[in-house]
Amino acid sequence: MTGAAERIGGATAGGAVRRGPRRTAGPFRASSGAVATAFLVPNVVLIVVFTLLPLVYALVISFQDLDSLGGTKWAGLGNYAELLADPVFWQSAANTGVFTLFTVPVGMAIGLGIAVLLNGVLPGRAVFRTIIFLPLVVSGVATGVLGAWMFDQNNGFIDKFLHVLGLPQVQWQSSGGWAMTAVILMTLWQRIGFDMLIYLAGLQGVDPAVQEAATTDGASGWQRFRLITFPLLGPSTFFLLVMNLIYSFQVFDTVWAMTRGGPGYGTTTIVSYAYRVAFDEHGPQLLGYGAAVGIVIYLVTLLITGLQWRFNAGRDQAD
Amino acid sequence: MPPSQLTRRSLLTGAFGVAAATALSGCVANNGPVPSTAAAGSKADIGEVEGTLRFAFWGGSDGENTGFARVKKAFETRHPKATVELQTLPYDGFFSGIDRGILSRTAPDVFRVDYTSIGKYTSHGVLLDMTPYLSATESEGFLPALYDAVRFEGRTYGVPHQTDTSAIAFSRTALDEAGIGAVPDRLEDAWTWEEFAAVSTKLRKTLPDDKYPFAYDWTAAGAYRWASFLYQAGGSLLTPSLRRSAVDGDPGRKAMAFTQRFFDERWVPANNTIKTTVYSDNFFLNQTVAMTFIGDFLVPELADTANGYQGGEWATTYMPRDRAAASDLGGNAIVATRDTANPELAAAFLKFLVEEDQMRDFCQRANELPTLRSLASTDLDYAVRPDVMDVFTQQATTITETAVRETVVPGFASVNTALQDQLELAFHGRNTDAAVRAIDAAVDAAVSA
Amino acid sequence: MTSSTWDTGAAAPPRKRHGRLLWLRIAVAVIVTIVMAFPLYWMLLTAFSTRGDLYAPGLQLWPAHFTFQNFVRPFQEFPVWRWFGNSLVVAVVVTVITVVCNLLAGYAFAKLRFRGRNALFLVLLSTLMIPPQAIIVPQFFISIGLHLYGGLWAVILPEAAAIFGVFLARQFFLAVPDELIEAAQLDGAGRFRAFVSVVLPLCRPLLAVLVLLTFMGEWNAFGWPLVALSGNQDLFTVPIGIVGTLQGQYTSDYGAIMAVNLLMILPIVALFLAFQRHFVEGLSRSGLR
Repeated sequence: MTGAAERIGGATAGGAVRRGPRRTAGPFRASSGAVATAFLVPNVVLIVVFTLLPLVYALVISFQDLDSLGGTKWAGLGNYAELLADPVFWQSAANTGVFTLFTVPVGMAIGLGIAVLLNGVLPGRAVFRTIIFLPLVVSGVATGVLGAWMFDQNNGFIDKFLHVLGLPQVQWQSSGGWAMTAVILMTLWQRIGFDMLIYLAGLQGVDPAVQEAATTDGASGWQRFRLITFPLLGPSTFFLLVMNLIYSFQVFDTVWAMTRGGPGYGTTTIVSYAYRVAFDEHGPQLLGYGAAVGIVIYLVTLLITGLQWRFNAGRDQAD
Repeated sequence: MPPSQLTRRSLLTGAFGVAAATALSGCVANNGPVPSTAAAGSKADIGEVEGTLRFAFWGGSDGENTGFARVKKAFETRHPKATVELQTLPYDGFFSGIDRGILSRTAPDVFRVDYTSIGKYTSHGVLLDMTPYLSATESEGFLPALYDAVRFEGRTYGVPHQTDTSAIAFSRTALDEAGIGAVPDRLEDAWTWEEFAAVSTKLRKTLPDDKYPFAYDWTAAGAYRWASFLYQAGGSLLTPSLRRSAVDGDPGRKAMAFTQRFFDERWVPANNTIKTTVYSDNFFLNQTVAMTFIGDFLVPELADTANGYQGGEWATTYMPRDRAAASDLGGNAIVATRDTANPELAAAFLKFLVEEDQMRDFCQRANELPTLRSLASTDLDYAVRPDVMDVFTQQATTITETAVRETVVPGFASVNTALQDQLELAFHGRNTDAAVRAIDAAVDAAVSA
Repeated sequence: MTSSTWDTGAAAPPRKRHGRLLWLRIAVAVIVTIVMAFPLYWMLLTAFSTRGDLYAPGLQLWPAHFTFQNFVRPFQEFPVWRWFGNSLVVAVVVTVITVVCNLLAGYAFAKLRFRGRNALFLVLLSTLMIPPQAIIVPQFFISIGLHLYGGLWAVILPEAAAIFGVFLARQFFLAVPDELIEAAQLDGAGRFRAFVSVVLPLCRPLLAVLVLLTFMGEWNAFGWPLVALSGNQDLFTVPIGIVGTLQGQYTSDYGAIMAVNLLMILPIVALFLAFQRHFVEGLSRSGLR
């Protein structure tokens, strides 16, 4: 199976992916501008009004001091200057970094391990896969709400479990570090099924004959994995890296439902910060500033995607 | 140009144009009031009104709810063609709902707003100018400080409906057990900071480990009540010009050190901070604390026989004092939105709310303090625990004019938010100096924004 | 289109000498599965436990006292029925709008020829890179300007502006042989008729994936509804209701919160178990919302 990464690349090549044999001109080949317009109008209008226009509008707003009652004042680059000088913004950036660092590689490693475990003949394999995949369809909010309860520092399951093990109580709500740990753990729980899924698919494409050959050559199980299997999983790894990076950078639901970004700003990620600044009842309700944070998020997303394209162009056709 | 391309280009341009036009039409710029040109009192004689009026407020005690229900009925009796729709909403999210309603022109006609938040609305010019509707006599009938609370740049934008302040509720049993005999029953005998510290220390010794001497009512929007200690120490939040912060100074340091002591010496529960979900009355009700600082409007809740305080006898005493006695300005005004469909109806309703009989009835039911001069000097017949209410009435006399002026500055909502953030950090282990300087900087930024 | 990776699984050659290793694998798999399933079990357990049991010290893996009260109480005290209704309306309407739009647009990009097709496709594709939070503030003002704010349409329309399905639809339609469509046109059908009578009946697998994913995405949607519906409890969808109302009101009553949480995820879990293959296929392409 060719990597999904190629599919992403393939889609951008316009309509040139699949082409049948050349045909003579006929009713099918004729240009169909009017009909095309009709087919496209609904989707295009929606996108323009609710996605493209807002992007431009966000830029405009980001140059204003706009508040929740509609008071506006031109601010030029003021919001951006304030953003760069805002310690909370940097803390939220750091939190997002920490979150990414601990969810992406760890999740992928565990997902890979489970995929390897479940690859091949195993009674009940379908059941295991289904259950491990199940948390993925539970929403981010449901996960966060469940997490808030399981990690409740006075009555939650984890607290009671630690008590049973004789370990000291952990301040899952009061301590920034532990709260972030709890959020990370819940996110891992939810997302590991995705990594497992992609790696399972990738493992299908690993030719067992190559592995057999390596075994006959005297390679150990770990060597086989490290030198043959893992490199062949390159496209899967790459796909997961990109998808997980984008997800962890945009995480909001789970964090907000579980901790509201607290304690203090201990679990505030960049998106939670944007929301808090603009719309939270207990926040400053600065919509202009919030728009600026949003624009910054957009620019960083562009950067990540751009780097990914650069990378992808180089490593296309890995298999 | 091939027709298909023309169509598509114009399609996109069309979509963009329509979208842009509608978006910008929804763009409001509420930068300040455009006061009506009518002279003060020129429309004071309203006469009979008709129509439907939506009045939104946050659900409070039974007393408040009954009070408003009675006002509605009485108003509808006087104005048979008018209907008042009462809308009770949860406190959390109340004001962002109002803000969005104002932006989307779906806000209620009349709403209740506390004095710490009213400045935001007056300075954005989104309230109905009440100046033409209030006669001179009516305007002068209010306590001057509270009348000032609803004014902005020389015009009036609502009516002050009631005041609240804080005092200490305590459990008689707990104090007896700690060997604390007499509790101050006169304002001039209120505990000094040293005496209060001594009382708290005694309580700390006799109470079990999971109980605490007291809890303070600075949670969430109550953060500004920390300033009471600042006033008691002889300081203030802002400079007399109300443009800069005045927190950084000796009174500021003294107040900060004293309040941080509450946590260091375990006089308050560890989660009696600003950003918590447990309020000071909750701590008292579930008997985690022996004393608590509460507003008068919580008296009915504590006194309720079924769900109120179950720990035996309780009473109230005065706020501690240092160089001065001081307490916080609480309470609410009632205002109308500028875009209300029927200004006369709204104005008539606001004036009705603050007629002497109506105010007396409401305050007596809700256990709150009146804003009319004529009522402030009489003894109201409070529905619940009048003995306890007496303390609050007296305590209200310690709300200084400075406190009022500072509390109603237009940017006070931002100041309160700044206090919320900084006090939370201060109570989580910052040293006193750093905490004071941080608060000073944050309040400075908030008040000059 | 990739073949489903879900239940085929190219088997490795049967392991001859690794009987013990197989048991080890099973054991580890069982442990991992139990750990992964446990939080869901805990949610189930909490939803059926009494408040006394939940807040008592000690760990109980089985409800000591079984109760349905947690399901009754929230429905009595808050308009939870309303919330489910709103969630359903929003999810269904958005799914209908999005799927129709995406099918039409996907087909246009796959099978219709017009100038600027590639350029337009790229422009639309680029919107995939716009993170929701970047446009949430202007979307707020736009929904006010269009007089949508204050009703469910404020949530529905912006959410229905989705491009990912166009991507999937186009991929699918590209694989439909041109001859089929040509044949219909030679029989006299216009392009639209050709689309409806020949192509649509073929796209059941595509429809299944689009409908399932869109419905799930909408049922679970949180960020924009949080802004668009705030302040009006009667308009809340279930996620907003839980986070906006229940978490604040039921601070020491997690049984009730877990009950509603459970009810919220049940429809999607049921759909998932019934249509696993489609979900897996769609999710593996989308990176998951």
